Amino acid sequence: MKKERRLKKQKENRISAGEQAVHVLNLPPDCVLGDALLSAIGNRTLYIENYSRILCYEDDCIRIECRHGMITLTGARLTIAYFNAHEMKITGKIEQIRFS
Amino acid sequence: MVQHGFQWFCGTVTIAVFGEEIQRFFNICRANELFLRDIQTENGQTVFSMNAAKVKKLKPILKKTHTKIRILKKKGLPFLRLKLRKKRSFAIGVILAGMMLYSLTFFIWNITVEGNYSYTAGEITDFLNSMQVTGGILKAKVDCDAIEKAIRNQYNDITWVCAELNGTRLIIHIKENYDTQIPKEEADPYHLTAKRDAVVTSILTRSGTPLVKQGDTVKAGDILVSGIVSVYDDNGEPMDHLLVNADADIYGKTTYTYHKEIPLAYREKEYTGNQIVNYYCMIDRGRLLLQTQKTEFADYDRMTDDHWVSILKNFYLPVHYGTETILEYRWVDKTYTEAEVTQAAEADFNLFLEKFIKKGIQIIEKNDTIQIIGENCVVDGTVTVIEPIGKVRPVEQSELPEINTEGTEKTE
Repeated sequence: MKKERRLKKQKENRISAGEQAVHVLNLPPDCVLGDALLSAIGNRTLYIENYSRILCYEDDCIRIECRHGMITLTGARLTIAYFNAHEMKITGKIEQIRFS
Repeated sequence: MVQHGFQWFCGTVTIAVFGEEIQRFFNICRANELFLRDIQTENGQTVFSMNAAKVKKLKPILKKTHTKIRILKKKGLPFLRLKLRKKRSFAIGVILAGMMLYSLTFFIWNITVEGNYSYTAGEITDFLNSMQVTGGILKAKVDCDAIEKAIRNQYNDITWVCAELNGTRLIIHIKENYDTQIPKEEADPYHLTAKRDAVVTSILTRSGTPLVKQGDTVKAGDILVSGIVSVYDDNGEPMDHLLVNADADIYGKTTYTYHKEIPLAYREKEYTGNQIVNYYCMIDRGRLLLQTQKTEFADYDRMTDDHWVSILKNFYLPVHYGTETILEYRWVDKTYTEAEVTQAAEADFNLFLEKFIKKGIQIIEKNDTIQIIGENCVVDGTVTVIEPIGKVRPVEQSELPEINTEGTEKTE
């Protein structure tokens, strides 16, 4: 049991080969690893690129699935100004951005 | 702004979506490249906007995700066209009005003069009318270069002219020169002569033979710098002469006298307070009087307040309106008091001095005496100035010295 927990923790903390290549060769992680790219202007506007789909949309919470996890935005009067295959723009009062 | 215009042109609908799988609906729209905008929660329902032409493509997606939509708003040109189908004559009227306004932009309806000081706008406009440049002329027929050249040739005092076509306006910008003596380029050789009696204060010769020096007293007409330059041989004897355009800066001290008599008795207009106001409207030159009353006054002044109809700053239409006010006055005989006439005389003398100041001439001394003699106020004054005194005079054949065979000069 303890061994299993220790192995699980090691696996989580281990840096993958892709991440190492990005770090060593100085490559853009969003292109190579497919990470989501977020650009924020204050707490009013947020641009998200490289996402998979919308999981939940509500006035105070938006959940977006990315390649390597999920992004949760909480706030008030959240609006998706536009979204297409490549990019989405979220406006409103953003209080929290959480990665999981 | 451009994007909003494009969206209005294509037509936009605002749709409310209901159901359990709204997020799946959005994701499938995205996968099918249906561009949704402004997704937000309004009054407890989720609404979004999209292009009106693509609404039909939502049908299979709605069926797949078991969601329903309701169109809340329709905005844009396609929906406006549908509304106007029932009001055809209104739409045709709007189109015709637009075409008429557009056709009016091909003409000049307003001619303005800017920068004029001693020449009135009416004088310049009358000159333009004589060149067939009037309100109502086609823009294509207006030759700005020819107008500028003609005005410069007609008015010597105007040193710079610019004719600008802006909207339906022709704007003539002018700049006047206060010094009326503008030197002309002479083809033949000339002397520089004194234009007034003066004492020469400075002379700087660039070409020609100077005949005076600083401190000399000259009379009007005396040659200051000669246009005949003698050429001497090795023995110092004249062997030939050259004719040049004399060029020099010659300043001299001259005196101007001033004399004016102002009668103490004068007549002044006194407005009685009676007035008549008429309203009018003009379309190009056709005048339509909207309210007129007959003028029964013996003496009156007519004041017109004219306004042009314009859509934009430079888009004038051939319509102007205004009011015509007729003010009655009567002549009243009055007499100046001593203080008043002295003030008026001083003002006149200062106006006389201002002419020199505007030309940049240095005034070194001024004197004036104001006396009341009989029924007049007599002002006598002298002004001593330092000013350029050279004046061009062509070289005459008789002035040319004869050179004999021995090389000595013989002048007549």
